[in-house]
Amino acid sequence: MAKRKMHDPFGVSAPVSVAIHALFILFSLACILPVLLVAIVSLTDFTAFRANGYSFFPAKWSLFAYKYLLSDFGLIANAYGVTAFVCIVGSLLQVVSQSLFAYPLCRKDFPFKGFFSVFILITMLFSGGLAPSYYIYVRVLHIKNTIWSLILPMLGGGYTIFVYRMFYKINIPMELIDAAKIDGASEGSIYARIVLPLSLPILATFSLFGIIGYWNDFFSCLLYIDSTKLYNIQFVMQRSLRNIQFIQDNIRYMGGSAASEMQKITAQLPAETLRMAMAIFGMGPIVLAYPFFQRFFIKGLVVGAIKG
Amino acid sequence: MKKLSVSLLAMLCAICLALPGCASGKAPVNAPASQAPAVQGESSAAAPVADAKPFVTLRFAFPAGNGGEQRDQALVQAAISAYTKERLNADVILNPLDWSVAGERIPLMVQSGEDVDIVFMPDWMGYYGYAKSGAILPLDDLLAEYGQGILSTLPESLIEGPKYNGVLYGIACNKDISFTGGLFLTKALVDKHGFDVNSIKQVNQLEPWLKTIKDNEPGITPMFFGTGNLDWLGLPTEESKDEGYVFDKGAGVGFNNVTEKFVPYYETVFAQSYFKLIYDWKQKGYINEDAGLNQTDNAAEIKAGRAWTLHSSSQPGQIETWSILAGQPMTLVKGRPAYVTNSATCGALVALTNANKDPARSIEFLNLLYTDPYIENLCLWGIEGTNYIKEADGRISLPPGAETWNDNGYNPGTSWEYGNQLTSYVTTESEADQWEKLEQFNKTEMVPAADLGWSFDGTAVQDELDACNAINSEYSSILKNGMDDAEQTLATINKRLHDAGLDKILAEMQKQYDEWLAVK
Repeated sequence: MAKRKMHDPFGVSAPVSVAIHALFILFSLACILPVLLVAIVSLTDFTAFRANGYSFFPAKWSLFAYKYLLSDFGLIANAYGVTAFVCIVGSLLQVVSQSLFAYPLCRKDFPFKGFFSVFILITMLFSGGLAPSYYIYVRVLHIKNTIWSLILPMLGGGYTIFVYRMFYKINIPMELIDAAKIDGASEGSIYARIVLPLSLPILATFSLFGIIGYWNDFFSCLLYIDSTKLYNIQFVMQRSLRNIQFIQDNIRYMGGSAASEMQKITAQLPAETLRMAMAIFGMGPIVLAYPFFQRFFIKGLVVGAIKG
Repeated sequence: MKKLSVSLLAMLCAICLALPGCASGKAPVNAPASQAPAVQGESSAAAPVADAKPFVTLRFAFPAGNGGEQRDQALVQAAISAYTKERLNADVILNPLDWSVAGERIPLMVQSGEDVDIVFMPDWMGYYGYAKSGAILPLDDLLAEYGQGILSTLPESLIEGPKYNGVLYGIACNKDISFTGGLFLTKALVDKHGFDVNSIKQVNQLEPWLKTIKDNEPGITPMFFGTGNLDWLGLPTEESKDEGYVFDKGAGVGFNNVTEKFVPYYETVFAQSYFKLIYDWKQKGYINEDAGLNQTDNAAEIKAGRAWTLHSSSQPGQIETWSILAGQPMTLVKGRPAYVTNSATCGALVALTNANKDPARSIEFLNLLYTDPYIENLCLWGIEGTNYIKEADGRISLPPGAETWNDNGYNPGTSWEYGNQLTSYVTTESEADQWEKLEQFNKTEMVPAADLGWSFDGTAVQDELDACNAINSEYSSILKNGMDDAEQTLATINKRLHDAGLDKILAEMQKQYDEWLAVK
């Protein structure tokens, strides 16, 4: 073991290794088991669920929840489509807008560097608040009930822009840009043909963040979308829970006939197994995006740290 | 350069700080005080030339079930537009908002001055706040001129109850004015054990029943607290039967309806004995162990054969509703009388926004909803033959091809929100004379609360109110669900409330109340 240690600078003694492994196995289980439980409950027969509650070993299996969900397949497929479009177009636009904002900030010869840095810094420190944002999107930009209301709210991002700027500062030497200039490259082609290829790791990292951000976003949908055709998948999943919440919060204020009308409609809302199936649908393909981006992801974080 | 960016920074900071401020206080910007009379002046000036009114499009936003926008929305909208064009030379566009979004959306619409003219704005969406800030319009003059149908339809208490500082800002839906409490039980078990549902006058009298069920019906929880709990019932305890009914006003404040005094709610005889009783029942296993955390629908639990009771309001028609939902005949222990309180009368209001393009015609449209069952039912149930079939007795049934009221193409479930519910259609699942019964119930069973029409201005004790509200919400669910030793919890909450300034709130409320009483 001692010999091995000489060869492997990261090697540790056996008990420590066991302890570390055990710790991380426990940690992984704590992450995986709840998801597994959700999956199992979604596959549990409803009467068995009623009788026994949450269980890893259901008395009876059933595909009913999924069948029920797929009976409204049009809505779900459409919502997946909306989410996919928003994820792809949104994260691309996000990467472009953020890196385009950050790139000039790393250039020493850019005259309004200070102003734009402070400008974006302010957006990090102060939030405009809900009502003013709503006002801008609805009454100034008029993008309510369009796909852009799902994309625009997340295009900025002060923190990300500063990380981009740091990355460019460290990884793109001014000499390289000067050399390209001497070779006759325009600013546009310097950005497109030198800066972007060099910043692939960070672009990949933040496009993953972007995709996840867009994937999980239901709030924009909640605020700006009226038409079911533009519902995204997270909102479709959130909706039934929020419907129940709305009724529970307010039923005592509504008075009797309201309450009974509400009761009739809540009774038709999906039960637990169905909600779990919805959660699985909500996780969906995004889980698959992680392994794909993983290698860029690690590189993107490490590169900035070492080369400083 | 540096100087420039510093001054720009300062400017931006100022803008950023000012923005949220002017949004929440948007009202001063739009100057409601000066605008509202101006609008009214305009409309009364325009009244003589009513025939020449220009065409206007009005938008009406309200929460709706079944996904908000309905499948046949366009079809129904066309019919509504045709009707309003003919009657008002106006187009009224319905803007149904799914329940899941309405709670956020409607206040934002009002705050941002979006192009919305009529909104559903009950007190639980912020009615009093918007009335105070002027984001919704005062209606008294408009109603007198254009809304006689509304005024003659609504009972007195639904007009007086929602007033803020003596001015009406919201028009109530003509439905049940208030509700009585109730405890619903499965009829089979009540009959089996020979219980008499009319014998219960105090909460304590339920205990022998619960014991019987607990001992003789294995697997059935006698008192199931899922989405509701026993405070719906509102009956006194053995100890508090001479105390008089005490309203829970939130923030630890109680209002004794008999003595007309504001008292610390958790120190009343009722609270002291009731919460201890609940805790005791929980210990004895009469109440499900996870009460307060369990979010299961009570009716579903009864249907599954695991619970005996559920708690709810008990106006006419409720026994039928619960019997459908629980899948078996239910019976009812009647709770407290139907006290008419401000919050009961403000449960469903419609208001005109500050951005309203034509307040006069908005009121005229609402007036039609109260007086013409055709337009009311068009908005509620859609088009006859397409979305429902009218039966001989006036009730409606599902159109061919639809299996439930979810897939008939149009059922926003909004009859309780606006207009005259008493002229709306009932489905064949309900009794044909449901609304007659409800009207009767409104006439005979309502007991006006002593403070009906009084509203509290909390500005003087805002900090204390916030603190006490926070403490109250921390403990109320624990007490109501018997989650912790009641005696100890009551002692803690009372001490904390007094430390947080409850006495100051009580004194201020009593002062304002006595002043109001003197004027009245």
